[in-house]
Amino acid sequence: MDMVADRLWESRERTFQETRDGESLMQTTAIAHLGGATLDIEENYLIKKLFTAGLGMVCLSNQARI
Amino acid sequence: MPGLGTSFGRGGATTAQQDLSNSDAIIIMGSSMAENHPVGFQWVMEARERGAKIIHVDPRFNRTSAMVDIWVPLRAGSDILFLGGLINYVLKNNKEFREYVVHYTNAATILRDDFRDTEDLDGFFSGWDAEKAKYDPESWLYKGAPSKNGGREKAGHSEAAAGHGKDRGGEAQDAGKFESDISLDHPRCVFQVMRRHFSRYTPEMVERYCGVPKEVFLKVAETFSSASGPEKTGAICYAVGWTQHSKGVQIIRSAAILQLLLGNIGRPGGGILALRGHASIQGSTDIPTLYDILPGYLPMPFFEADSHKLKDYIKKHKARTGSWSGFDKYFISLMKAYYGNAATKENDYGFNWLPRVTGDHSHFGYWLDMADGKMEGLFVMGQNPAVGASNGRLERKALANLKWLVVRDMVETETASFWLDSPEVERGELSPESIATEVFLFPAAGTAEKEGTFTNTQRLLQYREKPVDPPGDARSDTWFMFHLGRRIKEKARNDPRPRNAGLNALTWDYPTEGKHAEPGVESVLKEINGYTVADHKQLKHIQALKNDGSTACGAWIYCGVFPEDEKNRANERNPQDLLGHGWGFVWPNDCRIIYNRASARPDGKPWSERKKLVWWDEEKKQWAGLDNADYPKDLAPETKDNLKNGKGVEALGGARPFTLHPDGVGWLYVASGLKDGPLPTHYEPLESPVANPLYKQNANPAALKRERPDNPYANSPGDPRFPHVLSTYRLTEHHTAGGMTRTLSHLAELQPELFTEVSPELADEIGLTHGDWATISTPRAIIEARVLVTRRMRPLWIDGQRVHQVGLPYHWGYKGRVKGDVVNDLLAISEEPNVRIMETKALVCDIQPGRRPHGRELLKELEQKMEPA
Repeated sequence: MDMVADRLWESRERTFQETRDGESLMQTTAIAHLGGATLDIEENYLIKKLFTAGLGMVCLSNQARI
Repeated sequence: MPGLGTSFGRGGATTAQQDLSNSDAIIIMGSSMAENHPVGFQWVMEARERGAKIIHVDPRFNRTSAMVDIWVPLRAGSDILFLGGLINYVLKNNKEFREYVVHYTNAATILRDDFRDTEDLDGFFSGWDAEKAKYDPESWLYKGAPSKNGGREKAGHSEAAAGHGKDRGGEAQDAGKFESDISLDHPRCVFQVMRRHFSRYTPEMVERYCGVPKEVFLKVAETFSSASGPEKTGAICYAVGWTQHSKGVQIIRSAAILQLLLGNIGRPGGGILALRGHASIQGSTDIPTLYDILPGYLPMPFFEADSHKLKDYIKKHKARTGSWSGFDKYFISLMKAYYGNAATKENDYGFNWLPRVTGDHSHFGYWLDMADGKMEGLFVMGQNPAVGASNGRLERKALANLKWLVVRDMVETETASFWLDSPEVERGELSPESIATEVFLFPAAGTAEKEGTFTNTQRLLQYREKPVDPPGDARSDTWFMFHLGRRIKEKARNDPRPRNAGLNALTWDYPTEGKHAEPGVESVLKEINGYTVADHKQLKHIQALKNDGSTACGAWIYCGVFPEDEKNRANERNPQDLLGHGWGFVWPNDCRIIYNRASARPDGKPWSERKKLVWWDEEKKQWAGLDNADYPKDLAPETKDNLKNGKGVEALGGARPFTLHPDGVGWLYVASGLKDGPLPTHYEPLESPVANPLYKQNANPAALKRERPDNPYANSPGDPRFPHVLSTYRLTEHHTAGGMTRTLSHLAELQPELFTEVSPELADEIGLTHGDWATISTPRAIIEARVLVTRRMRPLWIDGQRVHQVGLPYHWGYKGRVKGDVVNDLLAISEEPNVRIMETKALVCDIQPGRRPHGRELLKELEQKMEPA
């Protein structure tokens, strides 16, 4: 867990963009997540909350692109 | 989701599976329900025993076809032609439920003078920009509606957008302003435009290009269109056999139009059942792990001029009339759930801590970036893209470009072991020695080893208690996310840079229990339900949400699931009636059949005794009946609407059942929100044996092919190298990419080996022997499978030529107790324009007797295969 937290933090540090053209961007597109349709809604809730609202990861996807 | 979402307002099945037993006719199409939803299929059988006619439309005779009255084989990919044929039949023969159509749909709405149909422009609607390869939907708007122009992206039409968001319906437009003609005679009213649009979708056309004999088609048309009117209803069931096409959303739109015309939405025995392919497909879009939406279908902010500030973003997405008039309440309450006390009016409730969407960040969008070396890390949780995703060769090779990969699953999946035993290693394209990707494999708890909630195919939230602890180091994903979050937040704690403001503010104080410090799952569900900020009281109803920061709510559509501290309605197990009230909780507001205001006439009385569901109780002055009303409880039927100037749901008056739409009616015609047109149009699949019989434009012009050297296509129409139609499907015994089933001895034994289903005619033609091997190829891959020669597959006569269809279940891979080639390697990465799903159900292939070569020889053969014929 510690190693994963380190990798995640380092990749985010390397790739995070706070602004673009003076406007807020707060994004990294270099770290992604896949999966969710087999998980519980509480699990999906925490994934979106931490990864997107907390860490600025926008590349989230799952099986339910319908 | 946008197919149903734009038509009715919500991207969910409109009814419950039990309610199918009330149907007078059922069409199952794009689904083998008996095979993949066997529990729900009992209600189809119940309907049949009560006299309903059951119709199964499918290229392949399967376990569903065996149990129905009429099986209709059709050419894979010709669905809109078939459904358009049914719509045309209804319109030509005046079979529509006139009173329902006039009052509850936008049939009477008049369109702008500059709108042009695909009939006028040979396969294009007006507004096509050939250079950008996208539509400007301005001319699709209702006549009299305010222009959406102004240099900004229109809601639902952003370059970067997928269609999952609220903006899928373009709800932010002011559709409350329009002109209408309830005689439905005006030449530019939706009804007449639609009549012209579908006029060439004739029984003859269906026979010639779907391969369905005219008399069979007419039998289906007569049977289903008779399940309509005050006394009768019919239902339609579909699954990924409709969604996984380059025009999947528009196939579902066709069903929506048919059901609205027949008055079959919001009524018992009616509806459209979207049969989902995983336990929580519905749940994972409601509470999304998708890039373009936040919980409750609130759109992610895009990096656009009108999304830099909260007030502009709200202005863009908030509607004046209908339920989306509460957009600011839903959104600000979510920000309060995410960021707690740190989210204040002064800082726009943390709006600028949210990242902005800048492009296609969906599965294929970022995977192609990965293939091009632009990604660093990836978490894969409960999905197995090495087997389950299109163009597996590209997918697996891309993984080798990552710095690190985290896989959480119950077994070591092919995704986790791509570096060791993938076909690419065997062929020398990848080697373990040279792959630098650091792979972390975490054992995940299974469904029976953790607490949590699934939202199933009929919007039903069911909470599971934990029967057993997970073995060894296996943990739930709630545990993983919580403890990963704890560690990451610790790293950011003393780091005041703007990038960490949201992370530091993120509420993450879930209570833990047990020796592994497992976070309390119910505490997460309580946050999703919502609470008052000041005194932390659970919210009881969506109407309690506020836009001033005084309420927090993780997903507005789920509000009411946990209305009191000790009351988890998802965990209720006391069913009271057929629709299951008392068992779990259905969103929204425990309405089991949504839009159920439409089950009563405009005056509030049931259409008939036989089909009553919800009605106006004159004594109590409120809506009453067999379901919770999907309508403001005390809004009387005679209340006049005030669409021109009113605000909120009340502005819809007492007789507009589709409350999420600003005009309160079902949309036969979608003026804004779909990227490939306001009406469904038949296009051929991206790879097809035949040319589009209706228009010069062959395939959906808005679909994205993502064509590149590692994602090549066959020529279309009619590539002689790949003459047959290929369709993939699932079997009862295995689950999708097989990680959970090929590893189990009893299931592996039941379906031990990959096979391909072919007709006796095709077997004769090319010399295939039952039980022997065949090699199947597309421009992406060559695989082998055992041959199953069966009458379940039939060649079809398409425009004078015999077209063969080949069937392949896709569950096998290079791990597990039983192994086989990865069928999805055959598929191209392609994106339907609205939701960015790939086309799996209709492509072209070659099939030859014998086994495929191995190693580098296979790549050579693939190259030779691609040489022009």
